Amino acid sequence: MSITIENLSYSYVQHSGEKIAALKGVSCSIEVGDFVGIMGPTGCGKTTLLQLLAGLLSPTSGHIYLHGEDINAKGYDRNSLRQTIGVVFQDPEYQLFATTVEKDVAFGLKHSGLCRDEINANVKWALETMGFEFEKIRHQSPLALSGGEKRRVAIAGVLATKPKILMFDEPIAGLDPYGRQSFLQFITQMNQSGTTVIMVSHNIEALCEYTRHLLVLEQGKLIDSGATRDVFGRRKQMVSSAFGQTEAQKIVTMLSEGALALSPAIVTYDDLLSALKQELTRGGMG
Amino acid sequence: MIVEGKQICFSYDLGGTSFALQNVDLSIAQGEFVTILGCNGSGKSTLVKQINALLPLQQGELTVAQIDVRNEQDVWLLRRICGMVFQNPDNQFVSSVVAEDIAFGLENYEVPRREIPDRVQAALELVEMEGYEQRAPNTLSGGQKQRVALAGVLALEPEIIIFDEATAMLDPSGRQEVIKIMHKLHKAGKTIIAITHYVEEAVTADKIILMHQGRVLSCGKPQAILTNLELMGEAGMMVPMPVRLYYDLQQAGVHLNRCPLTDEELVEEICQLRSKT
Repeated sequence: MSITIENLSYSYVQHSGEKIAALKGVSCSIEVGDFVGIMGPTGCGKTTLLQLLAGLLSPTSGHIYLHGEDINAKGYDRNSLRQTIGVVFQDPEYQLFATTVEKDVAFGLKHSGLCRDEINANVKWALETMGFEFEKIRHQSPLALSGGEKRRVAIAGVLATKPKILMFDEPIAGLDPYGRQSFLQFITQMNQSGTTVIMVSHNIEALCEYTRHLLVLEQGKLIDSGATRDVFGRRKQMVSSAFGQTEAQKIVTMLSEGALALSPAIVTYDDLLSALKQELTRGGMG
Repeated sequence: MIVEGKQICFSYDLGGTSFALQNVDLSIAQGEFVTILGCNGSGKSTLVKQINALLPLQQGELTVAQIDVRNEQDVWLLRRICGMVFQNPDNQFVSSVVAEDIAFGLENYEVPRREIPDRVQAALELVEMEGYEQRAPNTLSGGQKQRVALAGVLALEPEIIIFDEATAMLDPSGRQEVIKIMHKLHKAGKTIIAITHYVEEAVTADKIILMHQGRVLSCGKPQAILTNLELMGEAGMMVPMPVRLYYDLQQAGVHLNRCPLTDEELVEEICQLRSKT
């Protein structure tokens, strides 16, 4: 299942009637099973793109094809779109509302056509996937949980619908380093088991290390896209846009000014470490 | 000491069986830049919310600018002296116009109306947002929004400014904008207390308070804390990349002269090592 985006534009209309273009003529495609990152500075249109992909906004112009079908065409089955795509918005913990964790997670399945046993099985699976002991957590109030637990419950609510495409808007903002790492490992596992993952993030190191493809947006335009390594490798563009390089790339740039030229292909920490080991142990140094 | 706390304990649970803070001692000097570092749930936010009485002090002692935080009649004075910027800039706006938003706190403190425009202007200059007076906050970037939220705090001329993960939701350039203003305020003599998960933001602090499970695990200079693998590991934190690189290179038999904290120090050490040959 691939997503094809064709010349997609979207404008918000302000109270004054003034139109603000949030996306301008974006075209790209996302293959089934991919792990795609969307990056760009605040206000570049990342969240708007996610909302368009989820069918929550209708484009001002252009098309989104899922399975070759235009999701905004008259007569398109929106129900099947909702079952295919799951979206975890920024700060999902604020979306919790039910009296128990179990009811909250089950809410999205209400109109799914599944029978009670199937719903219960999905809820249990989703909560266990998010690291909870089902019996311990099911009757608790979601509002009494810690911030990190709330976020996991909110994500379980999306997982319970077993979407084939999972989209996350800034899922790791506000998580501590190990929280970030375990969450990224979890979505990598989901991806490896066949789920297509699309993740919006400001975290350059996370995007660099975990995604396979990147879409780079700036002021509503798609300014670069491709394999993650290739995009990070095109460093001149990254410098000119407002979101910089990985820390390893910054160190390489600074070292080249200090007369140690390392390969410009170095992007991650591991790349840098092995290049430095090679360079500094050469000729018995160290 | 502008902030002095002894044996602070706090529990969100009414029965008091699980503690968010346990026997925390705290001392922050006037004009100091202190970073509070620790993983989610370590008690960082709970601690700073005691400093400006957003949470009541349950056990222990705490004075801020010689005010006992338990004195309810001083709570408004305390919050004027000690301003706070939160994580999500969107949750901090009360008006649809930047200048009115900044004036909101001043109006609440009954600052004479004629003084308000100048105070708003001065605050906007401090955060380098002059010219944005009539803009709607929702049209600003993340970094700009946080700077407006900060201007609302600065208009009250506080002595202490607390940043509760104020950079967590910003893009890299927005983060840099806010960090730059934090340091500018510090240079101007303000006491800065910054909570963060980003260890690289802690590198330039005067002092780091490392928290874990409601306790102060360690307190000291960045060099002593951020280069201590064991301590940082115990706190559930990762060390800055230059520190990690220093130890990984050491394992490979490459010995840098000292453990660098910043990218600049790392580059300097590597260049020095190379120049020896």
